[in-house]
Amino acid sequence: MEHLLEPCRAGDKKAQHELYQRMSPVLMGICRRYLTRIEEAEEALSNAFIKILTRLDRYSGEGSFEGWMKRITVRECLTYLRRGKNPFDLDWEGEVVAPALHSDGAAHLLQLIQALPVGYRTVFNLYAIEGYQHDEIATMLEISVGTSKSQLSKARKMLKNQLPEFSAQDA
Amino acid sequence: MSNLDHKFKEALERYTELPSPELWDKISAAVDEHNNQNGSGELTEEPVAAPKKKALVVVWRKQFLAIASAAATIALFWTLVWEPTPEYNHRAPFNGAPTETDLSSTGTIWSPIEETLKKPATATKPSDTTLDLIEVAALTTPVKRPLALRWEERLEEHEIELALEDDLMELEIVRSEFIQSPVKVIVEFDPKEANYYASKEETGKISKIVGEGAKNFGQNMAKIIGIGYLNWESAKVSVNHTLASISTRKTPKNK
Repeated sequence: MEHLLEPCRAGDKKAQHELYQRMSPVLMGICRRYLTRIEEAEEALSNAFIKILTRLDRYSGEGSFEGWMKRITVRECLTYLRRGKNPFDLDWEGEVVAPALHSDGAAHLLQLIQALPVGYRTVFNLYAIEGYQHDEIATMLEISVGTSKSQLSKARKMLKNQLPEFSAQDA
Repeated sequence: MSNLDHKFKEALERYTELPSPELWDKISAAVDEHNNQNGSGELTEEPVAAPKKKALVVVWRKQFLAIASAAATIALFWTLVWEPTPEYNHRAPFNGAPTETDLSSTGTIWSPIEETLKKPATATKPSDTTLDLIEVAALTTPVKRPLALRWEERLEEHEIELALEDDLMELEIVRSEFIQSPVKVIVEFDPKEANYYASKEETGKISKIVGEGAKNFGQNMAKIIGIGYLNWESAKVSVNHTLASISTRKTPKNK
């Protein structure tokens, strides 16, 4: 992957396309965790990739190139969510309607995450999958650390209810 | 990390999904447009200029030369004959001394902005490379409008547009001129105060203090972009929210 960096910086279209072909499925996977509608996810992916290709000079070489691209993508997803009327819907108190699940594995779990309210989903993604700490999440979403923790807790509870092996443990 | 978290991380960290095939064309076009605007894109053949257009260019150049000559003559005359009065120079650069309308000294809390402004100005080049942790810089000397280049480097594209349209100004200029309409302001913090807050683990407090500090600098403050050690993207949101509420109460526009 790193070998594409210099040609991409130099504006080599072929290299840029190769980078896109390699990374777009991974980055689209990220977008789908944050944004449930495919059109929204594609818009965030598009914005993220434009930033990646036009700001390659800002990648210093510290950390992996892939990690850098992923962080930009997560950031774009959050930016997209912020544009909404109630960006992270932190006051949501309803109940999750379990999605109709016909598969297992990643697609199954993705469906569960997508069924979460946006606030729960965002915090869970940032904490459990991206690996951010609560203070970082609080800053990113402009919420308190306590809110971040409670959102995570509620998200876990809802997810557990949908997964027999975990709901059995709690029982 | 709980078992549940681990299960999701294992399954979804490498989850992939193909975007629609036409998305690349959109991205590629946008990248080309960006590169062309910034003059760093691929070299493309210049379209052959039609003869008619060439003639127009020649005419325009002649007109331009004539206008420029006239302007130069007037300017020379003006310089030699007319001497500006002190009143005329009402937009002189801020010299650092508080003015009658400067509210910065009336604040009741310690403000990192004030502390920063008291220090001698130093210029640092932003190097926001990892996107993890923003490199902070002291406030630099007041710059000429429109938007200074080093600010543009820190802003998103839509914000650059906003800034150019709304005449983004540096805090010191706002302070000295006491702008009577809503303005947008960039504040960059010194690493010292970033370290201070980091050591105190008071990540939430800094945005409140920024808001208070901003109030002290002018009652028409509408927006601050940028903050010390915090994540750049989230910091903007955090601070914007704080000042948006101040703006609602204070700006004449919203009265």
